[in-house]
Amino acid sequence: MTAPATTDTGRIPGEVGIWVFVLGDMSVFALFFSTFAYSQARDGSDFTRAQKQLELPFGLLNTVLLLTSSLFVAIAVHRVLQGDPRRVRQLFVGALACGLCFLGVKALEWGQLFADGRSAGGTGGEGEMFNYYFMFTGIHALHVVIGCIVLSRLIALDPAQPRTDNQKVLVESGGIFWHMVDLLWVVLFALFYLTR
Amino acid sequence: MSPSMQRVFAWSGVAYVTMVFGGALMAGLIPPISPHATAAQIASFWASHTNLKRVGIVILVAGSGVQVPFGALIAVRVRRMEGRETPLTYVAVAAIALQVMSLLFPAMVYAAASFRPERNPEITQALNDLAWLPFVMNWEAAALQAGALGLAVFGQRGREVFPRWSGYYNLWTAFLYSAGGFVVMFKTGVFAWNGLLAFWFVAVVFGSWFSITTWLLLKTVTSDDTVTSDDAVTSNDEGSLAR
Repeated sequence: MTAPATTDTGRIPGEVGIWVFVLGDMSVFALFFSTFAYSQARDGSDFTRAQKQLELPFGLLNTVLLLTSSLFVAIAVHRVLQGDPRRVRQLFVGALACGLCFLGVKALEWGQLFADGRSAGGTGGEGEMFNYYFMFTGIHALHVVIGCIVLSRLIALDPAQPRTDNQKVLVESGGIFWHMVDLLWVVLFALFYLTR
Repeated sequence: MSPSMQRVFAWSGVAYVTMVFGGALMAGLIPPISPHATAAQIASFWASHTNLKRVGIVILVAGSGVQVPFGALIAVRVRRMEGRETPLTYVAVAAIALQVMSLLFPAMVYAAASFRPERNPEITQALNDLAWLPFVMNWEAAALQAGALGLAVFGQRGREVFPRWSGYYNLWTAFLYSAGGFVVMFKTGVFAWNGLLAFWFVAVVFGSWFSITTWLLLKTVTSDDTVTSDDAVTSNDEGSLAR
């Protein structure tokens, strides 16, 4: 069923199927980014005025959180593949904590925007920007939730037991998914908070 | 069931998609009228080429049940992947029934909209909304079907019925269908019912899912033949004793 995780040259990290998912999902987000760029170019200053209402510190904090969690995951996956069980569980717990903080910051940011009367469903350049903002960051946040569930599954693996090949594939595939979630956020961050 | 009949069941997925897109084109639903259109614009839309539109709607209604054999074959394959207890099979069966309603309900309301185009335009507009909103927003049944199949693929033990990548593909598809689920919030933009992401993108994902799943089902028909010689005695799976 699944290829054993070996270190032969030319092997595919994780399993082939996870790449179907990752490349598919990244294509979808590429489409998202293109539509955003198109509307931004069309609506001009109305659009960028709405972007300026987004608070850069929230976005920056979330970027740091996800990059940190990705570092934890990368170290943990590396150790699992090397057969080194030291602090693997703590690293995954750290990554999960960063993921949950990311969702907390997102909730604060959304709450503040809602309090200021911003929501999805507006029209005109400004409304359009917030439509993109809430839909894209909402869909991304759902990815973070799924990623947190995956991390919880990895935390549940018994650190005292040596990893089976299937578990190594699971860990590596989970790591790949988490890095994708991180990568997509970095692009979303740049689009919403920096191109204005 | 004989392999040739199984192939017919598999192909009914493609037949369904062909009827949906063909009927929708004839009914003027592709490209969709804007949710931003006025009552007068919507009334004049339904008043033009009304008979052609009605024929398209007849095809939509007729097509709504065509995917049932396709869905039944999926459910049988899901059962084979699941083993003794089969909750995902029940999800797949329930989803196929809901899938029929997801098309049948809006199609009947389109029929009502086209039935008296000379009526008060605001009534036609209300019917137009009542058809378009569920037509694009009814994503759960399709997502349940793809989701049940995807989870079954991940859960399969022993012999492989569907390739493992198709599990990821199905879960990804189930997730993407949700892009149509927000159309009630938007009258313009990419997430409106005529938008790039809510309509066009989901339409492509939907159409390709039926085509790819038909292809995957056709491949399981061939593998059935090889299964037969191996364990015809122990297995009571469909088709194994047919020949």
